[in-house]
Amino acid sequence: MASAGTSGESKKYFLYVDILGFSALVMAGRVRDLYRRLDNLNAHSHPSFSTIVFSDTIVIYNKDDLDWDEDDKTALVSRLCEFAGDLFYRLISQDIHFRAYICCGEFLHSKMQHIEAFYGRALVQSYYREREIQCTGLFIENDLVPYIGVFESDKYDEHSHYVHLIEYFRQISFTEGSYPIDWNLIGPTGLDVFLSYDITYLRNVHAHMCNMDMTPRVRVKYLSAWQMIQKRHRAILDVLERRNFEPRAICDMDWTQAFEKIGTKDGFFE
Amino acid sequence: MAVEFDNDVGFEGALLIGWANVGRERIRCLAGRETINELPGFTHATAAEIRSRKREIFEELKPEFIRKIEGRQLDRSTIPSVTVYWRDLPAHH
Repeated sequence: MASAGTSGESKKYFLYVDILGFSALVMAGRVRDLYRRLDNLNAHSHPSFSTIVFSDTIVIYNKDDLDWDEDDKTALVSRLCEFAGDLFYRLISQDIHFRAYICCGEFLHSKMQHIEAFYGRALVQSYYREREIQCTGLFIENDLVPYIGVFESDKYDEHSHYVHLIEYFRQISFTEGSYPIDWNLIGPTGLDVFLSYDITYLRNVHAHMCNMDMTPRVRVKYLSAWQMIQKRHRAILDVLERRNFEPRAICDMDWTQAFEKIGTKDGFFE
Repeated sequence: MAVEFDNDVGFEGALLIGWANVGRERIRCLAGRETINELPGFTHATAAEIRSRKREIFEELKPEFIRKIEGRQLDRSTIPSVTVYWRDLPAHH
């Protein structure tokens, strides 16, 4: 039996992703584009990790079983956060959302004679935890929070933390009354290109949480995501919500080009 | 501005990861197996050997990280990063 990533049921650092609203994407004929995006994930080009994609589920885990120290665990876990962040930004233009969970546990993936086998406690644990979480975004089990590296997290429930994937707001997150901020904080570095994705994401989340055509059960997931992001960026969210997501509320500059490129081949994340 | 390094060095099976500080800016420093295997004494090093000697390897690569940071040769990445490739090593200049 040839191994496709591990020779035994060893402990893996494990990212489990559930694409939300997958059935609707299938019915709308949007899955091919989604899979094209999944096929381009950074995770595929990283030799230390294996990726499995099946229907609406993506699983990414580390291949090697070494005697990892604390710094190595940070390298592994923060890399999984980065993979989730990569997916997050690639899906913003399509208004596609996911719920993901990072844990550490036993997992086996092997090529048998006719089938590929993948199973383990980490997979089961992720499956059940991910379904308990009534929110969107990335979550991580409490024990792994010390290893998220440059990422920031906030407690979500007694088992897990919410990991903030919104990357660029961090550079312009100030107190209320600071907005609109000076052009020099955004213009010279081209930060508007990236901030336009963060603003688009928030606008999408806000639209879903306020959409009365959606069931309350679905709406609450987006509301929870909004509340988690609010923990770090309350002032930005408040000003955007008040100004109906007009980017000039953040900085009084011409944002037209940055927003026009989102969802096109010229867009940084497409 | 002087480039200073954190003491933490991680290895996750393929990539060596450390952090440099340039003033208030933090830059991630990366080197892959291909690069590490070009270093004298590490030609056939396994992942386990690299992991156990990762700090020594990172020390050897520091001049190349500094050169790339000072030359602002940053990767296209959401996290500010520089990667040293085998072709960046002095033997291949």
